[in-house]
Amino acid sequence: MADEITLIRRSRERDERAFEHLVLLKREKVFRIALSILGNEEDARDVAQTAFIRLWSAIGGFDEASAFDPWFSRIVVNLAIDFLRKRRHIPHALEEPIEEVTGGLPPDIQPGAEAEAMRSELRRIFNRLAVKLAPAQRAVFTLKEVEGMSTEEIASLLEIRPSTVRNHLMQARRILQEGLRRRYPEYFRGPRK
Amino acid sequence: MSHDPTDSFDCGRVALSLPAYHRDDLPPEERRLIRRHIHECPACFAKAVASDPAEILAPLAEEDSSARPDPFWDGFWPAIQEGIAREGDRGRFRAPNRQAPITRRAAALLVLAAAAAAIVFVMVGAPGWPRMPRAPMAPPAGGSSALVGMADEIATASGSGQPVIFHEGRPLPPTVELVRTPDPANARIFSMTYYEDPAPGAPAGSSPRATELVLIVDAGIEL
Repeated sequence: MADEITLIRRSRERDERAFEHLVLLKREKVFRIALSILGNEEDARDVAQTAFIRLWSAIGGFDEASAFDPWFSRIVVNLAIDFLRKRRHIPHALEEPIEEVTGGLPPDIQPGAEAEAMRSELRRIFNRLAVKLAPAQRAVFTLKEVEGMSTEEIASLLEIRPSTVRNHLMQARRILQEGLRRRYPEYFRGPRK
Repeated sequence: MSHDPTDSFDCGRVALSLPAYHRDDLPPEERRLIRRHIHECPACFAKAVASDPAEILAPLAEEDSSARPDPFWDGFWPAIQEGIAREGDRGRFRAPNRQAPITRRAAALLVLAAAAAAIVFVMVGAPGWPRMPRAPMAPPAGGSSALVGMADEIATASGSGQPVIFHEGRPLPPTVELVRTPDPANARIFSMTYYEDPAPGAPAGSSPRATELVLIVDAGIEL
């Protein structure tokens, strides 16, 4: 497989084979970004596919003097946010019902399968609580807390001011805090063992 | 507390950094390392959650990022090809040489419908299922291969005990056979009849072969 910049150049020249290789090269990263924002593999896969379809149309306008990944990530994130916005307008659609956790989460984080089970449970909890977040708030929170991006990186990615990122982040944390306290009080039992 | 050899943050340093961490005043890498320490150290985890419950979600930052297995990506590229072709770039991009991909939700519904149809084929012949007398089916004129069947919603059975049949005043199509479900479940029943040429080698003047498809669908499923 040719290197990334060669694949990008050939894709700009409408080389379908090169574009297929570019998809192969980038699909994991694109999927992961979409998944971190959407929290659902099926939705993330759909958004990732749409992002590559959009990329084929937009790649002619890519400036090789700039970095490809942030440029393409902006397409992915905006598509994910659009997806969330559309979903919010469908009552009761696609969202997991908000319900009390009956079994509870094992509060001790342990390596291996139990840690993975805990992450899975936390992901479910987050998806339930995140229904209350505006799409931009959710995107900012996950890019910051899951992807580990800096405020400046997120601002650049979403083309908003850093102060707006901080505001979205603060609002998202407040909403999540309230939801956690109200729906999952069993998580706040003080220091563990 | 569990320690990774690369974990250079001890509990004391984390405690000092926690206010700045919550204010988002730390460089991304330092923030990431503190976050990692927090979700591995029960004592620091408790402190962080006490001051910010959203820290309960900290382990999400350690989600498995290993590559998905190949089967996960089945159909990924063909769907992109199809999407590009559909979006008006047909002259430049070759659509996949296969049937257009359908979404997995639609595919699931089709599988469900096919399964329902298969069940009905069995149920149609089952005893205890009352049937309306079938009107004689008229074969197509000319005897050539043709689809002359019709699809029509012919019945909705509902309620308990006595099935209720709705026709809304429409005449029963001549190729339709009613199937009444004995249970209270709502159902929509569709019937379609196909006629084909007589089998090869059949005597001249043989009647066209008729195949009837009956599809029963739970009314609660939106197709």
